[in-house]
Amino acid sequence: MKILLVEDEAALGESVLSFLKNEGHVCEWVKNFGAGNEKAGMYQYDCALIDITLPGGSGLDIVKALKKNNAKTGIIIISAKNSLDDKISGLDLGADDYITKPFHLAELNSRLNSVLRRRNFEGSHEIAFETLKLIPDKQEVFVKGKTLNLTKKEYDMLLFFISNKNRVVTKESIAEHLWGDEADAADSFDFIYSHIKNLRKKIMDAGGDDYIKSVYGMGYKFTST
Amino acid sequence: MKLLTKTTLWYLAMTMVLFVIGGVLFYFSLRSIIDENISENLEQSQTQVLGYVKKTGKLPVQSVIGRDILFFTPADKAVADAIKDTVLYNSYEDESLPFRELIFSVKTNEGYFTTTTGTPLLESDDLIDSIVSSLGIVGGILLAILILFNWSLSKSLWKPFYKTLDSLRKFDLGKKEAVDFPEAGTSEFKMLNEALGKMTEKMQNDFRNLKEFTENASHELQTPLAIIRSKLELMVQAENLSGEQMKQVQDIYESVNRLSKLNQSLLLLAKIENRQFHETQTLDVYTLVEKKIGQLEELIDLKGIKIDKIFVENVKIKMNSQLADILLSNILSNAIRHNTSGGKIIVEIKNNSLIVSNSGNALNIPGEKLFERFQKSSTSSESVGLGLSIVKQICDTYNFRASYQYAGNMHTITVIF
Repeated sequence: MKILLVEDEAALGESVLSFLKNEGHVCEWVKNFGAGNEKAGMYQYDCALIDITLPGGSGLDIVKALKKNNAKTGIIIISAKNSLDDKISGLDLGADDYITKPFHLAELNSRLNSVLRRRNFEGSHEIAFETLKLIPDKQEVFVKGKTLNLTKKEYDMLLFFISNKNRVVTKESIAEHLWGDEADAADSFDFIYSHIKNLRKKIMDAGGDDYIKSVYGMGYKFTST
Repeated sequence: MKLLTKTTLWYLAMTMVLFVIGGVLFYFSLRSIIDENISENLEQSQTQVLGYVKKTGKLPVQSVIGRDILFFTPADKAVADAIKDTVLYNSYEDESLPFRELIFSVKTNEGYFTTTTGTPLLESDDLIDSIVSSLGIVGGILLAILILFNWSLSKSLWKPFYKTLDSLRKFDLGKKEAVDFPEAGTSEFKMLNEALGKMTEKMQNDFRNLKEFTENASHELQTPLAIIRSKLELMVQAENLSGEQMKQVQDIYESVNRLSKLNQSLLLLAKIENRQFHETQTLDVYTLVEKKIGQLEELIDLKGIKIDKIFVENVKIKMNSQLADILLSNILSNAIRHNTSGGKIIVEIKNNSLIVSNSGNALNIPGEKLFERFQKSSTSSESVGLGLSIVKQICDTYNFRASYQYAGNMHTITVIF
């Protein structure tokens, strides 16, 4: 996929860039408003990641330019301000999602994949991984063709894992993905552990392999055996 | 007590003292003048009697001298002149009256006579009565004038002062507008208004700067935090990290996450303080609580906590929906986090208030400190100790009252809307 990244912070941009390249995307990175606006008006992208506060202008104007040039481009706004006003105006302009700094790369990736899926397959698609098959629109999961009954949280977790397959996903990013701000309410990651245990058991009971590997105390990695 | 009432009372007290002193002085001076006058009159009578006797050699009749009392008693020899006060009985008025007598001797053709001439003295009771009553009238008039004068004075002269006071009462540090002090004609009040105007402006500026600083600092921290976090996330993907290195990365990562949460809480506090959540709407506490409990259900179940809902009467509140969400989220999350496993939570909605109780061990900090920043009882490393400060800040914004009690192993947070 062809991605446009507009981010003025060099170190953060590098992280995102290297992450996206690792995922196999073609990525163009510009660091200021002028360059971003120019690219947005001239080229076609599958998705654009745009920081709102940029030297030379507001990222929201780049969103406008992108929408004018190619309405099908998926747009994710990145902001240092957790401001509802920015979020609303961004989404009103046609952005697909809004993510606040500091974000987890896994979370960004999960949202990017979700946007790309919606944009490119017009909703009719499925995700396959080894013996697993997911149909995100219907929130259905099959193991070797058999339906797997998952709770909403288990399903969300599986989708998050598959979006970030073969990479270490930290416990914190899983907690934030599943519970958002509410993740703070429980003072341990016990609940993630119990969900993972259930998910693992359900997949294996249905004939799948154990795809979820624990990585030290850091997190988990979803990978083929 | 009002300043004017106070000065009036002092005036009155002073006047009263002066009136009493004046009255006493007045009494004695009047008395001595009258006494002198009476004695002179009696001496005059003596002169008349002596003159008459010298001329005629006979005693005069009373009408010639015209004194109230004049009588002659035959005597063997002359006596010395004597003047004295005495009391005589008056049969007409049936009372004893004070009199002054002058006794002297005259020598007529028939020999010596002791002459007694007298005149009634003014009764001192009457004198005091008349002095007190006249001073009383003057004092009463003075009092009435004073009150009237002060009343009109306070209406006109003190008007700018009361206006200034009113403006000061309405002064809100958090507001952006400067305080508007009214124009004053009196130079003292003008100076007061000027000084107050400068002071309040400076206070507002300092306060604003402080708040802006917090907010800006938090904003500026977001990006470096995002960089550290993303770099660490990339780092853990490396296959060649040893267990030891992984452990270190994990520690850094956890610290960054804590820092990031702390920063977000501080930013939120600054935003609430800066009144950046303007839009308000009427919200239903019952619905909000149900929704929030629904969101937290999983976490409640996981800890084996039993939740009791006692919804007596619904409460409607007018506030920003985002803040309402944060308020409930913080209170309920606290009730879960600081609960014992297998404990319970009781949520009550009644009497225009929300009461959330949860089982848990006693705090090791005083209850009233709980709403202060960075106060935390538990050693739970994940909590930053800002949750209840945010609750307090939100409550302050909308004039709700939040309080904490601990009784029978139950922590209770009450919010009165």
